[in-house]
Amino acid sequence: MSYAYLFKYIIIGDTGVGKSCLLLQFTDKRFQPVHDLTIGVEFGARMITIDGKQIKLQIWDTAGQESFRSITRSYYRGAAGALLVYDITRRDTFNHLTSWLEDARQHSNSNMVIMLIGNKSDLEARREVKKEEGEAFAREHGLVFMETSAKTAANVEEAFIDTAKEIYRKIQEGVFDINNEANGIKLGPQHSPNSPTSPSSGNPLGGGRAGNCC
Amino acid sequence: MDEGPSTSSEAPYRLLRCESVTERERTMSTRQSVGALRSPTKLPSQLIHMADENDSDGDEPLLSGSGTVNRIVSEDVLTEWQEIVEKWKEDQFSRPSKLSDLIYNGIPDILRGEVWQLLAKVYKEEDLSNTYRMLLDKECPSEPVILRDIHRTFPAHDFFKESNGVGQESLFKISKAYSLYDEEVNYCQGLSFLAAALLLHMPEEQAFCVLVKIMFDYGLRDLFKLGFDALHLRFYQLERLMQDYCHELAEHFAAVSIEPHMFASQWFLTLFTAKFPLQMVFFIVDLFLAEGVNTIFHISLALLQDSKKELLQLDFEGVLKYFRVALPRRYRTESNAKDLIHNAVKLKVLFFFIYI
Repeated sequence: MSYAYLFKYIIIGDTGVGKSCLLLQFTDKRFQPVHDLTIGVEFGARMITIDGKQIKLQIWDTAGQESFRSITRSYYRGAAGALLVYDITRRDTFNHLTSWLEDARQHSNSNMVIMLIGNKSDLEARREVKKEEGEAFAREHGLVFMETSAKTAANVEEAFIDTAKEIYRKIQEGVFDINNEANGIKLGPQHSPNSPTSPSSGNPLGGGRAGNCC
Repeated sequence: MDEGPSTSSEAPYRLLRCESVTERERTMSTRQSVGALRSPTKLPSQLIHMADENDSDGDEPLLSGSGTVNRIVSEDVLTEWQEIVEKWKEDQFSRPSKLSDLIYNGIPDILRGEVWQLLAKVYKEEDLSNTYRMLLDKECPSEPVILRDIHRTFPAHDFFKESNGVGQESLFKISKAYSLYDEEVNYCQGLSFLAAALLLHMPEEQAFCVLVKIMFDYGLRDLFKLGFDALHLRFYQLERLMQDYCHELAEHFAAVSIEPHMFASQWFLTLFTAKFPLQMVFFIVDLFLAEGVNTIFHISLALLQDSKKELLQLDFEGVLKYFRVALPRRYRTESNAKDLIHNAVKLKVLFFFIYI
């Protein structure tokens, strides 16, 4: 199917926080309580619509164990968005966010949009990390924040789509160079250079940047 | 059910699917009376279940530990194996000359546990078994990580399904012991799949010993060291081998931006145990233990060659989905799995003449 833009994402965070379940809920709209441990990387894709434009999301799901970071790192470059996930029922996964963030910032392009996600919001009784703490961390580090449940699907669509909206906004503002694929953004194959970034919001920086169709 | 030997010279085993527990038990007792063999009885080998197999070609990836395992073997083949194994046990360090050819058709399931131990040179290995018991009493810093991984390893298999059941308990103990045994690698995600495959054929002490040998003597642990440096080298080598042996596919992958690290991490780090149906997993471990670590390259190339036609038609997303869903499904039948092994062996012979 034709798309106006393609955005590449990466999902990161400690092992067992629900990265693969978030991806499955987003791509297949289902929750799989019994599933395989992720070794290396897995991949998923889905089309969404923003501002009347078809946008393809290609998402890399990564292994969470510390030792796999050397593999994960090669996926930061070339990602326009990252979902940094912790588990609201495990304080340690929240405590490790700084180290994940450092890694992400060091290896990605500086414009990568990072969405902080407190997952497993359905397990309120076992909550160890307050929502306010997540909000504060996000504020402090300039991230977008959301609590989700891959099990009930709460906020899962929003997490992926709001990240895309933020990337889209940055494109319109001219922050992203959409002709450089290393930024994790690609123009759709059938989109003429005349209108792909023409700003529906009236942003003057949007037009004229998309010189070459790939 | 017919248990007679196959009439086809190319198919010394006969694939018969057992449909019920009763039938399965009957098969076990029949087979044991046929061979009167010592097997790891009362151990998981007996519990290798006929996993419910979804025969439809759906969109769902297979869960690890799924698939039917052929447990029927002709009397002739069994006798041949039995003779070899008995002799081998007398002199464990001289591998029988006829072994390689036999292994290419798979080790009979009933003998697999023993043959794996003989191949790995840990048959009745007392020292390592003692070490194992000693390690279990120690504190383990990796325990929380291991515990989170246990129920995500072979979840399709009855033996590992039950929370805190025997299977999960054994898997936890082996993973814990290994993390303490190998201070450098510690516990690394991926190991539990290999341990689970071994546990289906032998008691945990022996499975631990074979795991240690695979990691140290066969060199699999090199991949896990130093931030996976050696793994990245293997990816590069696989890419180069593809250029030589699957040139068209290598070109296509380059054109659609597919690189080995996107699909082959699991192949190398888990010895193909994490995605493929059990029968194929066991064939691969048979070959790996007999031929060594280069088997991973032979199998990888054989897999790519096998699916070349399909992969050439697919774009970036299509290729990745194929690796995730269709490729493992392809080897749900024993004949496809066996053909793959034979192709891998042909590549091995070819490499021998070219690279040695």
